[in-house]
Amino acid sequence: MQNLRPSMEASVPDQEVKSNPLLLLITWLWVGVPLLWGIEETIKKAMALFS
Amino acid sequence: MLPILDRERSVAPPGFNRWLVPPAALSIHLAIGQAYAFSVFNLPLTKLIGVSQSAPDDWKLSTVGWIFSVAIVFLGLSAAFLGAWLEKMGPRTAMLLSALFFSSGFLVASLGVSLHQLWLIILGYGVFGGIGLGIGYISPVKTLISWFPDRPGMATGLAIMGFGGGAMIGAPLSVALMNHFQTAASLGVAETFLTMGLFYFVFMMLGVCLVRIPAPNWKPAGFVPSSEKREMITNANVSATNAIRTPQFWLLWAVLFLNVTAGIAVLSQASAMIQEMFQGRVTAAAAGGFVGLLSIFNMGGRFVWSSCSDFLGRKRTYMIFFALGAVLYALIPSIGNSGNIVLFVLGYGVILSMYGGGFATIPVYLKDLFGTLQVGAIHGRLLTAWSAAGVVGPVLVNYLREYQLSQNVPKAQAYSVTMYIMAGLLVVGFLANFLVKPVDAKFATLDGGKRA
Repeated sequence: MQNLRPSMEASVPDQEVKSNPLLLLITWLWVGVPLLWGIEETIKKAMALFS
Repeated sequence: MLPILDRERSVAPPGFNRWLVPPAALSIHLAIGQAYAFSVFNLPLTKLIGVSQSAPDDWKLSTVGWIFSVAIVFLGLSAAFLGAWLEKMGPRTAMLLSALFFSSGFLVASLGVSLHQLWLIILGYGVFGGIGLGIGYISPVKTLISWFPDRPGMATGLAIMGFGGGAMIGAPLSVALMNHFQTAASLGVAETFLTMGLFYFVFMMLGVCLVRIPAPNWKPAGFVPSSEKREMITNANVSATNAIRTPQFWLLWAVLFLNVTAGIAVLSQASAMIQEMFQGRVTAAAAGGFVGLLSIFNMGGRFVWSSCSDFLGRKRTYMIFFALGAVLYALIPSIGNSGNIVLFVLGYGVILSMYGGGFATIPVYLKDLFGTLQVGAIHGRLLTAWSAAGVVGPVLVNYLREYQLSQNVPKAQAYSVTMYIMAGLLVVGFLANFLVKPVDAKFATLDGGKRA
């Protein structure tokens, strides 16, 4: 077990690098758009249940 | 191994926004969640030669079913056996391996369809794809828990919600691609597999590029760990090897197994059940819509219940799953007989939300009991319960149904008995969860087993 410790501790980069808000937006869109499309398709299909 | 994949190179610099990590995890889970939609290929795979209808040399539906079963078995095996190694390699390597295995599985399966060789499809999607599923499923869990010590349930819920949502992308995408590639002589399955393999590889690479682990001792701004003593949350760390020697691991194995068995059982009969209970009111197309609606509850439950567990506690959350679940399972036949379709859909939806919630809350339950150090590896071993339930659940339901029909029980009532038996399984799950106590300090490693 003890030999796990060195691999779990990693070096810390010194410089502070603020994440780009645009990158945050793009990454959430990357996963959010396909998911919303899938939900929309599913709901459209589910409407047959109540029509 | 490539230097870029080194665990040390994945450490986030100061100022890194932790909200970049959930989309990284989601890009993996949304992709591998496609597995839940594999059934859209079942019928086309039985008509590869005949195209418009099955030819004598075409495969049977029961034979094609093995592809998904093998994938789920390899999901469990890879998560169980590779978990500890993946912990050491770090999430970036794990995500890349997942992308390579999952995508190459599609490519090999595509070749199998082209050559009409079932063993190649089983090797591709079942074995390679299954390994990609297992590695991908556990790869972001520990990283998310480390980034969100203030809301670990919400964080894992976000990722595992992706696995539930993956089917909602995978199903319409598969159908759209098959329609696009379809010709008079082909159903377009091989081309669809090829395209999906490439598409999912690119999609998953976002996670590989984006994922970072927090620096040692990093904490979110303003986060002060609770000094309040909480019996069910440990500060110690238990290794994966030690974890499986504890009764707590096997109690949680039973908890997951029973929750998933009951969930799979009702899910597998949902479409037929609503059509037979509401004869003349629900068509086959509407029943398909009902199953789609359940997948939304399944996905939403993963995020909502897991987030709630941050406030309720994991043990109490599972108490709710099993107690409320047992009541709803037992009530569903009566609700169906009353003819109230909205209440029936709602009841079924809550059941499925708890089925999904069970998947998403289990990693943080493990974190609470065994610590963060090897939670990914422990989670991987626990997922064998899912594989077992994936085999037992449908077999149990089919056996129960066939037995009752052979005893001349009317079709609609045959569902009732199955639901009552599943409610009984949930009562057993309630007891297993009730027996979960903090892990004995003798199993803890590295820090002497101190508790908060």
